[in-house]
Order: sequence, then C-alpha cells, then structure tokens
Amino acid sequence: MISKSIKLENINKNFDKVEVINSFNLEINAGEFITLLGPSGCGKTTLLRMIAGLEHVSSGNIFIGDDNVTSVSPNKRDTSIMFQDYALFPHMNIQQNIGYGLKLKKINKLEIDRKTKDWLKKIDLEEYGLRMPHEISGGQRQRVALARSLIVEPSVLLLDEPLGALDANLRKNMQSELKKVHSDIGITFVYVTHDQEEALSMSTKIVLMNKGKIEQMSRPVDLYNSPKSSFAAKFMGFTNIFSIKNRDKLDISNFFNTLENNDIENQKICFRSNNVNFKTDNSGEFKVVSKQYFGGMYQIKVSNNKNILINLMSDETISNGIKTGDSLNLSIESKDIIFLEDK
Amino acid sequence: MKNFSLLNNFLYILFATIVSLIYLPILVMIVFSFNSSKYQIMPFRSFTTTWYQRVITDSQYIEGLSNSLIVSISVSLFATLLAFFCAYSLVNSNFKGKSFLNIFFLTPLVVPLILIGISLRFYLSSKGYEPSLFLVAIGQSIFVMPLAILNLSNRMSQIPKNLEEAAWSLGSSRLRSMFEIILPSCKFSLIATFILTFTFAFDEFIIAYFLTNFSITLPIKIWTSLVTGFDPAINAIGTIVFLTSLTLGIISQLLFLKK
Repeated sequence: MISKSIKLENINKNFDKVEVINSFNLEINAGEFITLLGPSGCGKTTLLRMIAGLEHVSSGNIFIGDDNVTSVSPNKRDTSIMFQDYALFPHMNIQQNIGYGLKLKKINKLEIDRKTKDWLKKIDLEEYGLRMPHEISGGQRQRVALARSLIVEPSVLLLDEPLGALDANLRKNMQSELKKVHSDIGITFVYVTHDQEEALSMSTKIVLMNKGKIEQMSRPVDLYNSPKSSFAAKFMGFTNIFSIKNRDKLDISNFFNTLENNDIENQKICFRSNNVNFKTDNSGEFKVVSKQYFGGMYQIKVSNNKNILINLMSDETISNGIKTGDSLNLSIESKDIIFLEDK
Repeated sequence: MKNFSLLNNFLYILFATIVSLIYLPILVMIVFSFNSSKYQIMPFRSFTTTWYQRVITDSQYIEGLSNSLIVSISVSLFATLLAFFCAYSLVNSNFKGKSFLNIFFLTPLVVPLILIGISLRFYLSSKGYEPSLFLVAIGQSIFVMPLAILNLSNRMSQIPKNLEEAAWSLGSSRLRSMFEIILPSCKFSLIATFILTFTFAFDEFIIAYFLTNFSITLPIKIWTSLVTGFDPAINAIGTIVFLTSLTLGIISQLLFLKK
C-alpha cells in the first residue's frame, strides 16, 4: 500500500459561531502513527472527521500527499475511517461488510471474493464470513471493521477511538495488534483517543490538544518525561504541580518548603509522585493526610502548614507502617524536577 | 386507599364506555351482516351469508372496490416513495428553514379534509382538470404524506449517522449509500408505511367525494347506497372493510416494532 503525508494548514472550524478548531497547523509524515490526544471537547474528533471529509472546514487547507483535498468529498479521498462503534452494516454479513469497498470500485466478483477471504484469514475469522455483525463479539467486530477499512488500500487510516468500547484486557491485545498492522502495511495512521496510556504505547508521535489548539507535539517518551505545560503535565499523570519563586536559586535540600500553590506569575514545576523519597521523622514538616491502597502501591497524601498538598506513591513494603498523622521528611533529586513553560 | 379504588373503578367504567362507544356499533354491524332479516331490528332472525353473496355479485360494489384498490395502492406507493426521500433529507441534512419545512410537511394532518377536498377541486378545475380518480389519488396522497414522513423519519433518525459515513469513506456516493445502507435498514418501516397509508387512503371518503364524479370509490358507493335507502348488504361490505383494515393495521404496527 502507498503511504501519504497529511498537511493541515491554518484550519479553523466553527459550529454555530462556537470556535472548535483555531488556526490549526500540523504536518504528518507518511507512514507515521500519530495520535491526537486530549480531553473530550478539545476538537480532536472534529479534526479527524475533517481529514476524512465528513466535516467541512470553516477556513484553511487540507493536503493528503500533494493534493489539496479541502473540498473533495469523502468518497473521493484516499482515506478510510474506523469508528468507535465500528459502524458495521447491520444488514450485510461479515464477508459482504469487508468486501463492500471493493464492490464500490467495480472490481470483479471473483477478485472481491479472493481478497475478502484473504482478509478473513488475516483477522482470524475464516469461519465467520456468513455470520451477521450482531452474531459476533465486540473484539471480532473491531477486526472486521479494520479489515473493511484496509481492504480498499487507503493511504491514510483514520481511527476514532476504535478501542473505546472494548474491555481492558481486549484493549491491550488490540493495541499491540493495531501496532503490528501499522508496521506491516506501513500506511499513515491518525488515531484519536483521550486515553494517555493508549497514546503512549502505540504512537510514533503524539499531538496533545487543548481547546482546539496544539498544546504539545512530541514523541511519546518526551511527552511523558518532559511535559511543557501544566495541562500536559496533568494529562500525563503528574499530580504534583506547584510554583516556585526563584528558579535560579533552587535549593534542593529545602525544595519542598519553597513550593507554593499555583500562582500565575511564578515559575511552574512538576514532579512525579513516585520520585519523592520520604522517611518518618518527628521534626518533619509534612503530615500524612490520607493513605490509599492501589494494588502493590500506596498513595499517600501529605500536607504542610502552608497547605501544600503533595501526592506520594510508594511500594507497599516501604509505606506499610505509615499512618495518618505521621510526620514525614521529604527529599527529591534535582533531575526529577521538571520546569514547565506556562505563564 | 378507599378513594383510590373508587377512582380506579370510575376510570375502568370510563374506559369501558369509550371502548364500547367505538366498537359496539361495529359489532352490531358485523352481527347484522349475518342476519337474514331485511330490516336492522332485533331479534336476530337466522344466520345467512346472502348479503355477502349480494356484495360479491353486485357489479357496482365490485367496481367501487376495484377503483378503491387502484387508487389506494397508487397513493400508498407514491406517498411511501416520496416520503422516503423527504424523510431522508429532513433527518440527514441541516439547512435553513428545516424546522419550518418539518412543520409544513405535517400540516395536512391538522387541516380539515373538507378544505383539502374543496380547495383542490377548485384549483384543479380552474386548471382544466375534470374530477376523476386521478385527482382523488392526488388529494389522498397529500392527506397520507404526513403519516408516511413521520413514520419513516422516525425510523431513519434511529439509524446511526456513521453507518453512511463509513460507506462514504469506503468510496460510496451519497445516492448509493442512500439505497444500499439506509434503504435496507428501513425495509420493515417502508412496508409498514405502505400498509398504513393504504388503509388510510382506502377508507378516505371526503376528499374522494369532492374530487371524482362518475367513477366512484367504495366508501362513496356505500354512502350513496345509504342515501337511497338501507340495504343490509352494507353491513356485509362494512364488515369486510373493517376486518381488512384491522388486519392490515395490526400487521403494520408489528412491522414498525420490528423496525
């Protein structure tokens, strides 16, 4: 299959005067697995639908490969979309569902039959060709939807939270299956999700979105380890985000006492709850507020007299003896402190 | 609690009264259609099927019946087909004035039939059309369209939008997806709508009365026979029409449930 790049140029989108996408620019290289990540309402699905041609742009241009497809209808675009509820045609059996795209291309019946059988084999549903969509399980439907999208050999596959309706175990399997499919066929994947774990484990690049704009675009490792804003930090699971007065005179031994609750003017920093070391110490400034079990780990919340609430995550063997009300002494290494660029 | 049961009893009686007001006359009609007496008075003389034989051998009734069948079938075919496209555009597109159009399509439901009859009669004869069964078909189509649109748009709004979107993305044109994705999903509703509009058109009297003169439909024939003096055969034809409508009505409701 041929893989193509995607370029979004200055895209704006309004729904009844409400701005959903705001001067959006993005270039996606051919063959990439890119994830549009963000909370619901951030515009990620709208963006995906605009690439598919299912939504008009209010202004701006969309290129697929070298072609400007901004006003090209969805059936003439070199893209294929997969939905969260799979959208299998309920009145067609599995085989007809998979072969539908080829039937539209006026390919002869024998060829359609051969290719459909090939795909049924690839997705491990050889025996299921004559079943109806409601007669197979969610995971199987998902694979049928994937085969139906890929059989037409698109240059770009668009995926709208395709794993959202599956249970946790199946999700994990499907994640690796999708990743394998991507590296096997090598076309461009644009994946929409609100699940950061899913984004981190699958993508070659993540576009983190917030209110119709790009918040940060990085490789998964970089987004996870060095978020640039407190929004990105929160989304990547940082529960400790604070301000400090003076970045240059950071005193690591007295670090926790210099923390302040978020303040617009000051430098913002964050650190992961499992990077904080602690020991019980009667003269410690932080008191344990609560302790909650998370399977092998305890989450401990501590607070000082300045009302700074810090989350700690630690192995149960270490934190077993700690009780609410205990005083703790906290320490952290300077490499674990991340400086954010928020204003 | 005592007050409650009093109220309950009252409601039961009310319900029974309403049901009997509707169905008792029909029941009487059915009973008398098998009565050998020429007059519609008790007591019941003896069981007979004479009136039914009279109906099926009377060429006027047969002519009325076949006229009615031709008109109602054309009306329901035409209305169902047109309503499919109307419903599709009402459900799937978003244009200015859509809600106005929505209401506009449903107005024939509340306009008195006599107004539809009179105004069409005047308008069409001013255009040089003689009253005929064809005009009846036009008038009745207007009358049953709202029902057809209502039923079909109801079904279509239950079909997930992304079924068609998936088809487009696979290369289907809008027209093609309408026939290959939406139409099959509305299969049962289409048949149900066809039957429902058929029964409405088949029973319709007022519009038909205004828009035809020499070729008459069955309800008009029944009415003229009543005017010229009571004929027990009317009980028989009434029973046939009632039972047919009832059966078709039930079938169409079952089909709607099936989607």
